[in-house]
Amino acid sequence: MRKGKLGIWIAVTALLLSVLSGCSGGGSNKGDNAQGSGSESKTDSSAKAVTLKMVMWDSNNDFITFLNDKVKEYTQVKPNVTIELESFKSDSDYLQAVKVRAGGNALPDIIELKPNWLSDFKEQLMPLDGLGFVSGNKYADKYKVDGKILAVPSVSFPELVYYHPSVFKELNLEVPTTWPQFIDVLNKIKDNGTYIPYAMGGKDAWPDYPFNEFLPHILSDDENYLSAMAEQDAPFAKGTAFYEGFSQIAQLYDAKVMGPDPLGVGWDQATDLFVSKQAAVVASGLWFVPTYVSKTGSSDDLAAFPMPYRQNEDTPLKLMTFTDHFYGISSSTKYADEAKAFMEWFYSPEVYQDYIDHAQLGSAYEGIDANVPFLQDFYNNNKNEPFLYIPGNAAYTDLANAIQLDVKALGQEMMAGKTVDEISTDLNGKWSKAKSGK
Amino acid sequence: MRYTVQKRLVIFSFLCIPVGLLVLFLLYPTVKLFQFSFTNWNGISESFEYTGLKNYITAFQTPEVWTALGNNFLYFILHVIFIPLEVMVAVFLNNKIKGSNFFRSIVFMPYILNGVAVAYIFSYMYNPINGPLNALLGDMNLEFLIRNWLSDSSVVNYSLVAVSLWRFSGFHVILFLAGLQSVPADLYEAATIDGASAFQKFRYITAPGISRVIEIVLFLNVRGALQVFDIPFLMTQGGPGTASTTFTVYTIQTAFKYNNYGLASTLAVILMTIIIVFSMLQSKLFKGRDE
Repeated sequence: MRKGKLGIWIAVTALLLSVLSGCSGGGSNKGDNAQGSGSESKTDSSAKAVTLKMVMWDSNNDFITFLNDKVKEYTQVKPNVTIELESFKSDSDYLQAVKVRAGGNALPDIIELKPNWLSDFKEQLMPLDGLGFVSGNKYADKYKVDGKILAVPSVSFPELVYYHPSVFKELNLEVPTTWPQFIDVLNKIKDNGTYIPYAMGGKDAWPDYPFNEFLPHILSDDENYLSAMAEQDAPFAKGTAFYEGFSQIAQLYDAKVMGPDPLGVGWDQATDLFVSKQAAVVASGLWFVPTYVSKTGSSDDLAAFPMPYRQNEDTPLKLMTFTDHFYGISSSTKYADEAKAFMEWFYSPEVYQDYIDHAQLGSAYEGIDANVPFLQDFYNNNKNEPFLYIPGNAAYTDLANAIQLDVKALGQEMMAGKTVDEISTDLNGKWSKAKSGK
Repeated sequence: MRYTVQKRLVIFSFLCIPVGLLVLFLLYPTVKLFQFSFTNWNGISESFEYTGLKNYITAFQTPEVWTALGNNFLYFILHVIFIPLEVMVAVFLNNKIKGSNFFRSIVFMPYILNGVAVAYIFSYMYNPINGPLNALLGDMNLEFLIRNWLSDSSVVNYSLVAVSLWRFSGFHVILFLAGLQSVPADLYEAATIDGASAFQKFRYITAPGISRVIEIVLFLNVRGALQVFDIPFLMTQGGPGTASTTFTVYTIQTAFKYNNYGLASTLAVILMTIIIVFSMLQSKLFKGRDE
């Protein structure tokens, strides 16, 4: 009998705890943001001492240190506001952490984002339309989600093909301006046998993005190509930009110009091969230059050209331009006004100039130019037509997630021998199934 | 206050914290896991819809899930094949040989190494450029055995299982050793007097003596093989493409890369069910043998 009563006591307590914890875990409980926003008031007094939490990623330690120091300067502008910066070393770790916090309604006040994450976080971001720091941004309008500006890009930069001019001179090679010329140059380097023609780093999957992600996009000649795919029933079929683009990429992979095992080495090792001049060519964004300079001490033997995606010189040479490091304000912040005021300061000409000069990337603001000599040299020496990378809309993202579309992993599979026809058939089947299931 | 009331109060107070923690960190998440497995929650949004059994049907109809489970099975079967070898090593180390303590430590060492460190060590070993393994094979005139260990889809899973074997076999050996040391020595003495051969001693004394340990190792093997995550995730990220994706890697990617927490929760429920079913089958098998 006693045992029975004790059991009832325990059951009742367990139930109570369960109900209590259930209430506190409710995702839609917006009123429970005091802790959830990640912010805290230092005092409850009318002094309104505020700590704004800001979260960012960057692989460059020096830049993280710079930004940490920079945001602390804001206390001189607004003595009652302290900015607490949390940094991550990689965007994938960052994304995972931010998603977990979003799920727990515990996002920091100011969040950094990539353009293709914007639609995922649309419920968590505050619209910024009409604010002062938005109006001067060259690209913010292009990245509206459901007609609202949810975050502003801090930088823009071209995607480049890097090479050692000394190697090109030694092998008497010309900078290629078409796709067949590009493959021809790599073949000539391979035939010479001294250098690995192209440093891929395919073990990490993402380094094939200049090909598997960007080539079909540029070939479509439509900056909103990904959103347009969401309207199509078979966007991977023969004749589509995807199919033609992937066939073009297959020519490159089949040429075997990426060393003995392109899938066996990761990005760090591939760039080490390039930095140590064992490899002749590598492709990535402008962000690679500071890495290169930090390892070699100078950019004397480094030059770049636009990836020549075009088949012949009759069409314009498009240069993929990427915008990145978007900042937005969490919709659950308790300190929206303070966060907006901070963003106004952050993107004010003087502070922003310092930001891009340290980031060593291109400006996203009208009237402000980045002091990046390498970039200026590149634009002086190369004629091209910028092509802005715009991510897919929510409909595309939903479909792509439903079929687990990862074009960079597909690039790995192509390097491992999978054919474009196999990929096309498989993806079209999954796509139409996902679309009909909606 | 009456003694019985005091007694109840003390019992209640002592039980309150552990039961509360159990509810908070085990029961509540498990209930939520089951709840999410019937939804289309993307992990970020504040709202979600109930979709019935759709996630379960999707999970069973997705070929990649079965491929991933197939990769898990490879870990399981190769570990099972290695169990006799592990028992042999344990028997060897159980003998009074010079430096047996040293060898026991060496055998156990891989298990206590950090998983991330192990992954990096073997990534280096398998490296196609200046990698020690291929260099060794070259020096031994065994060039025909040189492979792209982590980038050849037909080889990559075996390369990863080899790392798993290296890491966990030592732990199994130590478990078997503990089992062997619990078998009374007089049984062996009596068997020797009766003229039993070494094999007969193993068959009728050692094997029954360590059957409980074999059961534990098999359970750890089932659980470990189905949950293997760190080695493929760190060494290949499931690649090239999806060639070395295991069930847990696939689940993590479904949740965090493709924003489908609903389906990922379903996969976690399926994984939990498979482990429970396998453990029950195994337990029945051993109970049957005991009887």
